[in-house]
Amino acid sequence: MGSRTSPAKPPHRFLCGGFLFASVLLAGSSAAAEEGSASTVRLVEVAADAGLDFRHVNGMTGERWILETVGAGVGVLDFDGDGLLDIWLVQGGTVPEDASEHAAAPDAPIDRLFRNVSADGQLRFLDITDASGVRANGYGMGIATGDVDGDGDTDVFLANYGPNQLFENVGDGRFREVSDPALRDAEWSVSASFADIDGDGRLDLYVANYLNFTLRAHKDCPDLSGRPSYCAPTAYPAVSDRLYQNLGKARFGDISRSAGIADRRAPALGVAAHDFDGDGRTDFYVANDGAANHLWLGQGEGTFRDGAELAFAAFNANGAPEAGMGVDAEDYDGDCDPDLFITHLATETNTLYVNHGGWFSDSTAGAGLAASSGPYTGFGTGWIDADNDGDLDLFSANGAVFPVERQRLAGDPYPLRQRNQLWVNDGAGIYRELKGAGALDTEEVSRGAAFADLDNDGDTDIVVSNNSGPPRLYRNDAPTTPWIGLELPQGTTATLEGEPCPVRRASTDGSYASANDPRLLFRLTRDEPHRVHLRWPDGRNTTTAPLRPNRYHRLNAKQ
Amino acid sequence: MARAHFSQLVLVAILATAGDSHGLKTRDQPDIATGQVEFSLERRLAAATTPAERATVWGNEGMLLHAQRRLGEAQDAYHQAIDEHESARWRYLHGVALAESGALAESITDFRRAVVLAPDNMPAWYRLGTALLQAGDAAAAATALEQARVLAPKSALVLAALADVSILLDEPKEALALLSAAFRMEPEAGQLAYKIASVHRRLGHVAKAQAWLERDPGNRLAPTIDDPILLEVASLSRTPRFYRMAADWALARGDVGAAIDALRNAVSLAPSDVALHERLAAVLAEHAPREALADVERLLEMAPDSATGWRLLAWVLRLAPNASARAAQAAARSLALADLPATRVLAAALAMRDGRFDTAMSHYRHLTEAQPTEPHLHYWLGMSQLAAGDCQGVPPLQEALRLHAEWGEALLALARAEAICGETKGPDALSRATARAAALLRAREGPDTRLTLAFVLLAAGDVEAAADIARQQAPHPDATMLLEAIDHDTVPNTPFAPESAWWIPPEIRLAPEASP
Repeated sequence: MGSRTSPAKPPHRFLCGGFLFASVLLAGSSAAAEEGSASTVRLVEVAADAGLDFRHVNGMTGERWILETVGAGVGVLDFDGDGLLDIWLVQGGTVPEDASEHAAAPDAPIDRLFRNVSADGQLRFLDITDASGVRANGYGMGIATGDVDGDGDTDVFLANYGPNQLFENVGDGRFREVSDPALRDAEWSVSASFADIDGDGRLDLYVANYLNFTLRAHKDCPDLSGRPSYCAPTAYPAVSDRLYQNLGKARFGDISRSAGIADRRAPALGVAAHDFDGDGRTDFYVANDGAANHLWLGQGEGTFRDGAELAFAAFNANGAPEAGMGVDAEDYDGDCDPDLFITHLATETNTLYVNHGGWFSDSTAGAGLAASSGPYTGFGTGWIDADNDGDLDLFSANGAVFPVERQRLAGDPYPLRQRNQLWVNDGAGIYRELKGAGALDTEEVSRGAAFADLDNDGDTDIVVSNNSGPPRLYRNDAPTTPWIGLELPQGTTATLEGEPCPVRRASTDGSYASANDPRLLFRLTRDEPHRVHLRWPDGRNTTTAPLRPNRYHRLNAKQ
Repeated sequence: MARAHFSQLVLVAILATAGDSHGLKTRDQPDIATGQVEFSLERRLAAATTPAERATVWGNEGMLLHAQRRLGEAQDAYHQAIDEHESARWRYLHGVALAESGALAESITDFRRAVVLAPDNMPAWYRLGTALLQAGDAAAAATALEQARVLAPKSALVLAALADVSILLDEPKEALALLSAAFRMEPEAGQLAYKIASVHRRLGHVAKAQAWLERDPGNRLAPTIDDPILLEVASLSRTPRFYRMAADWALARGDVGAAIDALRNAVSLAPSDVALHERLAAVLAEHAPREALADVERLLEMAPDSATGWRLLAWVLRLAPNASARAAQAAARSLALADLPATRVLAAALAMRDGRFDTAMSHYRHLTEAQPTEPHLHYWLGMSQLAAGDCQGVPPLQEALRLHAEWGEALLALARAEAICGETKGPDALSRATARAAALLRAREGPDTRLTLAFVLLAAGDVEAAADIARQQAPHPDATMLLEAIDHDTVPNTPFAPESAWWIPPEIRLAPEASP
């Protein structure tokens, strides 16, 4: 068992509980917590200072291709095993004629990999793309991470418009592209999820595919007053998702048909794996854009059935499909089953599906999440403890897909900008949006969001990827409270001893086209060692020895 | 803030118009029409003398923008109306525009004010209740929705919203009772069935939940609402452009009737839009010519210089009895206004049909010079010359065949033309002509090909064989013409009899093969 001491800032005791008021300090790094408030969010935007020199290129030419609005995501991964999470920013580029065309010119923009060289509490990143051997030159959409070959390091799958790509981490800080024809599916893929569906210890792969779109098939979709706009996804045929079984040695086999998912065509954008019905098997929840969502329930032997409708997770409370973009699955209410949060189009609301042991209720309004999300189109999303008070808050990376009227009239060439949002959990499951003239109020076309403790200080930082813009890095400077971090094989679930809930699952998927910190972060009420109950992907249950607080512990199935 | 913004909007529109006149307009700028609307608004505001009148001008402007889903601009206009003279109507519409743009929380203020100003406005109470529900305030939502129920006790929509409140308050049995009552009122509203299914699931009735889900799975219709103010907005949303697009879509799927209906709606909404009238007339002329004449004439009354209108008139009249002169005049008028190939083709065809071969020849010559790779134009140039007895028509037929070697009609016409024009003189030429005529006969056995062989045989001097064939095909006009020529020991002047359908271009045959 390894452990890392970490806190860049000294931990101190902090009370948790249900509070009505929260303060938000989102801009200045020297800002202090508001006096008398019990829940304090401090997110400081530091991307440029930290060296994230990157700008997403969507290839737009004024034709308003639907493709240009969809990418791209961001991944966090410790590719070099130094205990610090690095950042992979997915790039678009010149729009290919069709999805079968594999980019790109030698001087075309490509994905960039930034090594985390932070020290002394200061986040710093170095672009080491060229040295890493990564040449991700497809028109990128999303990223998924996992140890696909079981060699202990993190490999990378890229969901592209065009052939997808798998980069194997060869262990010396370098990657090599794996030419597995099975994975080089040329559909328009957006998000992906690594999860072990058959308990063989190998990470299988679910790929969410969107639409059958080519430049030749582009349609003009003016709005009702005749002004140019972007098409809705209904303008193009949807395609089916793919499920790949890991055959070992970074080889995959397409089992979509035998698994039962190949015949369902839907415009998928987000995917998250979890055991949603509590039967011990891995399931996939897929957020579809303007169509019924899918809840692929594992039936064993690599087969699935869609249980979304009877589980009341396909539609909103009115039985209407919504424009599903991003998705996160967490046990936010601490009742031992994973709930769902889906981001949607403006004028819809984001939707909170509360899990009641395998079926869901749309509890958005009751949780205070409906009215505030109505004006925004959400993409990347995640439940994080932004204020370190022990409950899960919610973040949404926003950006429109149809022109925002005021921006269009002001002559903005890409009038899709919106601000991002954070909702603070009052401890009783009621959310209140935090607003203020801070970093989150900058209006950009945000898409991906990856959640990670980039400075290993026991709280969650946020990286947001912006379409046709630079990324944002929100460093979390909230006052620290005691915590334990766990680095576990993906798919392992963990609970603190004496607290059967919430169940947390080690995973990197969810959000939108992005890959998150694979580690689990538990907030503690006592600053002392804790045991942790673990359920490994092969079904075994174990309990750890007392683990010291305020650090990360790397655990594997042999322990 | 809102007022300042709207002023900026007006300025942007004006600049956009000016920019366009200098070639500076970009795709993202408002169109010229928008600018015209703003100027018109200014004039109407200037004419309004009281705050209430100015509020009406602003409010009506907001409704127009609202109908076009320009919700931000609509909100600004409604806001101006409220600032000028507050009324329940503009408050309500401001709230609706906010809610429709997703700003549910902000809409609550307007709906609260709207129900104070007009306590009997059921839709305002309902929308206040649903906005409060979305904001998570179940108690206040219940109060507003109960008031809506008092005003509209038979509204399934209000009952469904009250059921949503019950669900939020974790009272599923109450919710089920409300939904069941609503469903009895509007059983075709599939949304109610879905909600009933979800409440059954909440109550643990899995089988009932499944049964309700399977009841009408594709139907998620919401219950109806009687909302006269929004109906007014909806009526404004029926823009000419919308109907023009609807017509295009209907034509694309082959639904001509729906296309004509849509275009009639467009024309009625924009009676001075010449392009829309032209579009309607064109669709009618192509697909419903009997209905077309009145619309074309109306178009020409409105726009006497519409080249399209005169062309359509020529097209509609081309088959009408006793209208050949009028059709020809219309085609000529259209050509004078705009020299379009489609019009010239039609004018040429009319000239052919009327025996004005020189005019036809002139049109076809013009057309072949403009479009030298179109074989049918060369063909009809040749035919127009041959019709006038001019053997200069042979080379154009040869050119047509060079461009389209397998064209049977042209092969046949050329074979006859060469025969009567002495082009088959000499053993080689005669041999080729005979072989060609025989091949035509093998390919399409019939009177025309048989008589073509007779033309070639006559040219070769085999008078008896030619006469035999002609006698067998009599009283075919071409056979009669051939026999008369044989009787006079000569060859026919033309390859087809004057009354032959071969002289009639496809544009003016009874079954139209070309569009106007």
